[in-house]
Amino acid sequence: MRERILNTIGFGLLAVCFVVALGRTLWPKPKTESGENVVTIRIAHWQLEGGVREAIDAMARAYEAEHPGVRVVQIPIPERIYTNWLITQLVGGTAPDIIQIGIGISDERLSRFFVPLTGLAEEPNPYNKGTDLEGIPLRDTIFDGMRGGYNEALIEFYGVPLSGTSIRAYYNLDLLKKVTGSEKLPTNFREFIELCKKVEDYSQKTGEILLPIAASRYNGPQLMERLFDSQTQKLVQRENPVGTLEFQPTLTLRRYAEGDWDMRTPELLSGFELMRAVANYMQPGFMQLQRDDATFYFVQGRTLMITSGSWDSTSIRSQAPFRVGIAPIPAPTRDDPEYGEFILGPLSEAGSLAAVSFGLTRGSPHPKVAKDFLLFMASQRINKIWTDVSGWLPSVVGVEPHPSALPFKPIMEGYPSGLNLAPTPDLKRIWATNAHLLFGPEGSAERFAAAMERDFLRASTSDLRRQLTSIELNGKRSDTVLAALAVQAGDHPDDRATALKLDLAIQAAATNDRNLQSTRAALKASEQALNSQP
Amino acid sequence: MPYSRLLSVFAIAWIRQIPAFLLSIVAGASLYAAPAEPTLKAAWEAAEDNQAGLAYRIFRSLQGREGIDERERQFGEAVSVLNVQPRTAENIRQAKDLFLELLKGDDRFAGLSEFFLARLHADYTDPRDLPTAKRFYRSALERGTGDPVVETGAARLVNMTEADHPQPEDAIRALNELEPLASQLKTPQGKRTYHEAMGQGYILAGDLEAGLRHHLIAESFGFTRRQTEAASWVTIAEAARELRKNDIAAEYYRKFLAKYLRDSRSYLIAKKLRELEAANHQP
Repeated sequence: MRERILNTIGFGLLAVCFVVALGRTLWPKPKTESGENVVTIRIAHWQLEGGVREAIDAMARAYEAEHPGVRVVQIPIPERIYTNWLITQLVGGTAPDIIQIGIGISDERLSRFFVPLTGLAEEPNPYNKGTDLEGIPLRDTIFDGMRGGYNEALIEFYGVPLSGTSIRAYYNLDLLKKVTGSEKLPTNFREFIELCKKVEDYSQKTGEILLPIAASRYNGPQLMERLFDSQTQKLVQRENPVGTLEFQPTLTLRRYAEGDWDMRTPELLSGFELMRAVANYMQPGFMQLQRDDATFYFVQGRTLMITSGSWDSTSIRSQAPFRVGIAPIPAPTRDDPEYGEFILGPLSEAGSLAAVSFGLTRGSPHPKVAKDFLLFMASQRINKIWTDVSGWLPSVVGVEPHPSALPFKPIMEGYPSGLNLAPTPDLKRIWATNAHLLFGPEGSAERFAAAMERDFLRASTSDLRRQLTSIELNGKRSDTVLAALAVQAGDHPDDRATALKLDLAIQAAATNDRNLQSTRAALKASEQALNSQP
Repeated sequence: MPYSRLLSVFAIAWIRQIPAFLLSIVAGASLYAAPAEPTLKAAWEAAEDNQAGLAYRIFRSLQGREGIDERERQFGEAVSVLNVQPRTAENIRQAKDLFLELLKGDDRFAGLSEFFLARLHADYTDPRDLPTAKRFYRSALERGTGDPVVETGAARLVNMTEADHPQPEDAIRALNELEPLASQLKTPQGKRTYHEAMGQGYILAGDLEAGLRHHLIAESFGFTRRQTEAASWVTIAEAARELRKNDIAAEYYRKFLAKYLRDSRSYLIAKKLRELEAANHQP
């Protein structure tokens, strides 16, 4: 009897708990904070570098000041766990209203969980009223035409970018003065190599442990790619008969399979030599080190120079107990006696895309407010707050970068890039696996070339297969969209927005089909070459 | 006594699952549910929005409804089931049957179905059936529907033909045989994509003269996609420069610089334009 009563009480308590829990879940939460109705929107990102959280905070507070009923909550997530966190939030239906797009967001997730912003991109940003951007479509107020927020496969804009980026060399000015007696930064490759030698001499003379360049598996390739790029600019122009004047990865891989170039082509060997020459001034085994290790070396004053993106500027400056100088990466010039032969000129950054792109989630409980905050951040006035507080480059046309961001302004007077030897996963892998044959004490350009020659075709074939699958998927996905647009445009011939979207979809599908055929041709050539290998 | 305890433990365990169970039903239903008032318009909007699964469910739910154009519904069902995940052989067969059924009519859905049957044989079946795909592209074009999507089949035929002929001389000969396709095209989009594909094919095969001619026709219809426009203008200028048609080259270099200054090629193109102008002024 006693047990039955206890069981009844237990069941009763459970039932009460269930009803209360259900009520708390289903009933709207009180919107009151200090007695007012407050709409809260959440914005998530992975940019934990110095200045960004403060900048987003400043933009949020500015918005709240102009919109008293709104509260903006920032959710910074470490890059390492961003993908897992994001997927959990999206699938669980608890994603923030605004999310930084990039890491961990596939086309499938983008189309399923994010709101297309193509309509928004074609309309003027109301927050630009009274400026020289008034009445101009949002996409044309961003320096890259908002390409940084465009998804080619889905034929839609999904993100509004806030920043520009570039990669530069950071110098320890105090150390530079101590070593050379001057604070003059090197302006070309020869001056840079001379400087590296002086640092080594100084270190030997004084016994102070100093290295010219801090590098890691993150920073090292940034510098190496730029140097290698310089040696292959003319090769890319020569291997591009279609006359588009830019690097075409698929066609270049096909040309490799057909025997037009190989790892011992003079331009490539020269690029390998150049990378090895510079790697001699970095920490031994730098490809095993993490990004933070290299930064730590530099801010401790143990190296003269480090290469990194504009995104690290505020962090490095705030951590370094010395003055920091910033200059373009010192690649060789055309008049360089050793490495000048294959160079077109300095690398252009005119085509760089805007970054730090934010998208709107479909599950946002306050889509109108979230969209409005996105437009607010992308306005000329507020993008100025972004650059001033973060020290990052702005994305909005006409916004003057904060003085600390000026050295990162893109180099407009330059030439198209050279060959990227590791643009895809397997090619990246063999590059990293064989890097010790180039940078190690027993390494050489020839040893590295031989190893890359051995692995390149297999890796490029595997990457082409992967690329083909992705292009095929894009083509299939666009079929349903094309059909929908064709029917809707047929039903409403006067609807200009649908007609424009259909026109864009047709052009994107045509480009995709062209890529599909060229990838199939490259894959076929690669497979044939692979099969004919001994 | 132990039975009663065991029963209560099970009961409690079950009760604990109830909220999760109810919530999962609510969540699942909200994810799966079609809109309260399913319409063809809502289905097409979902399809346009890359939500093929939702579009397919709406199209299916409209089957047999009064006032619904059954052929349009069938066509919607077919094009959306192609992208329902997971993509199965059964789904592809379902789409194929619907398209074949729609071919029996003589409206816009017949032409579109023929185009998508070509797509289905080109990229959805395993193995791909390219001869059948080409046959469907051709017969869809012969219908003369005036539908821009159907007419992009001409460009796809060009790309497929080019892929069949890796040797430049063969490719040029095969492309020559596709010249008559131009007469079957009525829409600016169809003409533009066809001439663009022909231009690219000829230039890759080394026939700059024919390539330039086709690119100039394609360009005359105008591009709305900026990347396509920029690439087309550079290709025209470069081909014209090679053919010593300096006026055309200079015109397209200038057009590019006026619109695409924020492009990594702009400085190189400005230099090429200066060189061209200097050469023109030489006695």
